[in-house]
Amino acid sequence: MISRPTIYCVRHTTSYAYGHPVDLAAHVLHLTPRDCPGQRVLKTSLECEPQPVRRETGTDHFGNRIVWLFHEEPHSRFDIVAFSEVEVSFPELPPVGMTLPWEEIVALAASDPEVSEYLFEGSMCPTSARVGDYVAQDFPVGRPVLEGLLALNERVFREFRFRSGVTSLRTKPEEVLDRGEGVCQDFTHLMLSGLRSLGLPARYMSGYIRTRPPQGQKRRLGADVSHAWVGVWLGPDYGWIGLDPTNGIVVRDEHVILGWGRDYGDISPVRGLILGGGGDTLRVGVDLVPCDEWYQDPELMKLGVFPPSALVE
Amino acid sequence: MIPIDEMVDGQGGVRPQWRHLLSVISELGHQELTGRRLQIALALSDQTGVLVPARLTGQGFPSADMRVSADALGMVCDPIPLILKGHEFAALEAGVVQRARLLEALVKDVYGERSVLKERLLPPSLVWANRGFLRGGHPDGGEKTGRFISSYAVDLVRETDGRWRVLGDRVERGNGIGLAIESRRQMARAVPEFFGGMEVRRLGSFLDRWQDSIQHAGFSNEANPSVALLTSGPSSPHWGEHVILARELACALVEAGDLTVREGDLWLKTVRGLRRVDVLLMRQDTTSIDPLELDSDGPGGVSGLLDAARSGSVKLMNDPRAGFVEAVGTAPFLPGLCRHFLGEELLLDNIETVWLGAPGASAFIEQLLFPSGGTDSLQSGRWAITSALGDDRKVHRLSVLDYSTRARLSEEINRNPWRYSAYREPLASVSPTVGDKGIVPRTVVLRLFAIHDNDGWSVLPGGIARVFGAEEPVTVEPIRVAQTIKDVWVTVDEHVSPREAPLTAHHRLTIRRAQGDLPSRAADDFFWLGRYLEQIERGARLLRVALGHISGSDPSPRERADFDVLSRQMQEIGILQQPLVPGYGLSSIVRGLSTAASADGYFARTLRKITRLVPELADRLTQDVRDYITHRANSLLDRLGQRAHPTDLGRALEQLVSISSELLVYNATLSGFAAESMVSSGGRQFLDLGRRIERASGVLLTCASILNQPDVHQRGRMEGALRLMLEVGDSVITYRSRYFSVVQPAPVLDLLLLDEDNPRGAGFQLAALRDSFSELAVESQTMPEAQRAMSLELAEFAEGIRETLAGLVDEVFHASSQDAAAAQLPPKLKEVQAAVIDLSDRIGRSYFSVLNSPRLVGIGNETALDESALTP
Repeated sequence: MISRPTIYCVRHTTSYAYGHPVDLAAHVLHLTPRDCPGQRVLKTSLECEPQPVRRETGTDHFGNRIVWLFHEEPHSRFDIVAFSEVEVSFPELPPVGMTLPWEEIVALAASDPEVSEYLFEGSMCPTSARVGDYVAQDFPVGRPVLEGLLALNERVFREFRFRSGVTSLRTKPEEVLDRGEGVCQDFTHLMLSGLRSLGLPARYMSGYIRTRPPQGQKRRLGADVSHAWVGVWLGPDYGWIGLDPTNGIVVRDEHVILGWGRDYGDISPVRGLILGGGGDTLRVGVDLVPCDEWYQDPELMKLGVFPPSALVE
Repeated sequence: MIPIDEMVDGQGGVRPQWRHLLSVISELGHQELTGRRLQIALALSDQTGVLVPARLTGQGFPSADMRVSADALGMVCDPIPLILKGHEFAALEAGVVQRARLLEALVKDVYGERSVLKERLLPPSLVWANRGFLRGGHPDGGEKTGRFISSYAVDLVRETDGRWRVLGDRVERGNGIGLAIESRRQMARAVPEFFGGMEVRRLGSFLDRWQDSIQHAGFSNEANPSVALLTSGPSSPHWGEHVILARELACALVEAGDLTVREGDLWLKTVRGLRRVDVLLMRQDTTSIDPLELDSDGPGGVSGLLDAARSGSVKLMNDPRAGFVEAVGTAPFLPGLCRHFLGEELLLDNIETVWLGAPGASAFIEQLLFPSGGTDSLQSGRWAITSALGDDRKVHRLSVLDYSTRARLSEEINRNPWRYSAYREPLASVSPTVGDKGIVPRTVVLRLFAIHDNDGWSVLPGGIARVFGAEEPVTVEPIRVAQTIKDVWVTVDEHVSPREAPLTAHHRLTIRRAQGDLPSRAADDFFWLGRYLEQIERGARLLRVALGHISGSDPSPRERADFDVLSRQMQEIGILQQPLVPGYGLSSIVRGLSTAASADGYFARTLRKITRLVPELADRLTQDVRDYITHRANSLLDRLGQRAHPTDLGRALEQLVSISSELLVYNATLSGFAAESMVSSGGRQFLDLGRRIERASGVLLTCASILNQPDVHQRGRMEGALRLMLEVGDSVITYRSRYFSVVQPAPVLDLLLLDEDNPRGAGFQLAALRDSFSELAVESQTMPEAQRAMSLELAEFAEGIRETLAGLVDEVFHASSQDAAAAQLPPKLKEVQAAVIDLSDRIGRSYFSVLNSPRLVGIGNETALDESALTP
């Protein structure tokens, strides 16, 4: 059955307040969703305040959309609002038994001129043999690759506790394994590290997931943040699919992809180099709502494209 | 197996090209050649400011020569060159050009179509995991593409079969062209005997071509593109090379901190604001060149540089992405790649190299690490293992590893065999070299250089040969310590006419003019040079005055008081550690003063600070000045190290007098140099600012300190104090010519604090500072308004200090008792002196400071500024 595609509105705000003025800043933003199989970007805009002296758009090495911003006047705040309408409908999974044994995927990936890139680590997520041993439990000899991957996704969801504030972006996969807790990028890095150790290609997916307010409550504006999950390869016939270990689900129609890379370091939403500042704070807010709902909701409509404050407060 | 000897043919004969050289070698003898070697090393040191390793000096050389140091990184050039026959070089030349073309094609493909992957010519791991593979972005409008590699260096060894093979390709930095050119120059001076009777290819035109091609490299149509050479600084083992190269190519020598990207253009921070850079010659690690886009742990490099390069506003030479080709792993694939890209057979092979990720390599690894049987098939086990990916050129030499280390290594390799390559350590040829006890054969690795211009590639008809120690293995590791090199000579063969590049026929050289503005960092160094020189001057002057006040065994109360004041002042500025007690007799006074002039006293410390600044400024001082500063400082330090016999007071005093005069002459000579020959690049202006600040501060301290004594308001005391002020302020003659012998406070203070015509007085210094700032504020097109305003503000500040002083002198002049009024001055003068030091800090902030240190956000360096992804 082919499901009807869902169109989402997504608004992502990033607000820096600097304790001391920043004199000079350069940023690379991964805040614009990309087109890819299963996803079409209908509309996208990115505004910032203060206005940069130079703004460039382009694609990064992995084909993700990027925006470069350069600021050269002293400023104490930096606000970015990205707004997009994205149609998503990721294909249904093939029957697990139809997928190749994982060892064959290993061999195919090793010689594929593009997929092979995702066999290798980036700087933030070292491939670990120990994490590989953990992951290997789901990959006995000859098991269809999808069966193993789904089991692994399920197991990470079950065995790891979601807990924010105990890990950082620099937490390595082995530490996550030992702690048994973390947040979405920790679980993502953990799976990347282990799968690569087995020779299976895997990539870091950056994006958003739809959340619903608890029964009977109103949704809070800007309450969400960005999300991360794992992209895995099922071979040339079925290509890449998304696995979300944080929620123990397969990516179908509730995720929106910003882009992907080898690990967080390749795809950080806002990476920058600043001169000055000190005693700074950062606030991030995301709203992901189906467009038909968005355009019905007066509060969401009021947000507009800018400024971000209306939404964050 | 024995290595080939470059000089002898193995049958007892000397190769023809060496005959002349050999006869000169035996004529000169070992000792003479050792001397010549030191001569070349010192000459290179004078060119670069980099010290010479102490081992060169041997016995009997004054070890206090400041150009010599035990752990110095200075280059040692063996006086005996390596000779290549013309036809032999021609063959190498063809191979080098082919490799340069091949590597350019490879890099272009790797960052473009990637046919090497699609057609399985290169294993994916050697691309994706290669440290030199940089993942930058692509702007939507497309990027300005030029060549990736425009200068290329290659290391070669001649193995036992007589063939030259490649040890490694160098495109990221490829250091050594400057050294090759400079060594040749110094060789011609130090061992002219070798050059007689032999025709050797010249190097000069190569550099002209290169400079010309760099001038045409920028994308802009700028007639006079501004070129800078990016170095990692004086701590780099290649600093000397960079100093030479920047001078030869007439470009600015800069560090990453000197550069900034604004509105997509690259700028050099100078004292007059920002100056555009059109072409940047890369001589530092390129993988961290732009922290904004490349993996890096810290904020080194220049943020936004890659963006500027892609938009075409600056040309990076070589393109940082070209570092890809340096990884050892690709070596075994080059013959196939050469056929693929060029349709040619590879002319220059690599030394035997095996990529351990190759299918079936595991048996090879096993055999390599744990050879079975007596005569193993791998021949004597001279293998080494290193990274295939270029991420760390650490080499594991199997012949020196014990069993357990091998086992650990084997485990590491078997986990990720694709990370490693093994190479057979080459048995490279040897060449006669000046050793410790005689002329000895030493292993050499040849480095050749090629550059690309409109006519294609040309190879330097010469180069450098790296000399290895007696037991030192040839390695692919980068140079970390001082090395010995040889000048490489290419002979002009009788029947072969060398393909000299017809330079002038093709190119019209661009007219170049000196590009004036001084980089902020260099300005900072000049400023401190000025301050240190003035500190020496003031100290020496005080010392001389103090020596003049030493009288016989029974000083009068007045003499005693004067001496007290001088001693206190010397203590205040750090010349003396303890006050001198005149009552304790001549010997204790002389002993006390001698500590100031000892090997670790005030003068020696300040002289050392000066000599430490010289390497930093090596590229900005003329050779005369550089030589004088260093050599003279060395001999002064040498003198300071010598102690007179403690009981021989006469000699000790005499020595102190002569030292203080020598220090003053040192200073005066440098001032003369600064005025006459340091015209370029504004360095003199900042040297001068430093001097003025220090002198103004010194005069104020002197006056404050001398007036700060008991009963100074009494006429007799005041007169003595004023005379002493004039004496220390070196203004006795000027005063006498105006006021004869009547000494009163207001005229003395006017002369020392206000008179703008007395070069020893504070007024002169402040007026000069004011005028210098106004000069810096002169409008120029490139100078931002803010920078101008800052200079004008400083001019006002200096004038403000001068006016304060004028007010103080005026008060004294109009006071009913000038003596009483003058006695009240010390605290006020101290305040003015503090304002002068504040001015110095302001100069630092206005011209030298490089904003705050940059911070990298968004990748986990600063948790407060990371977007942590949380799901509900």
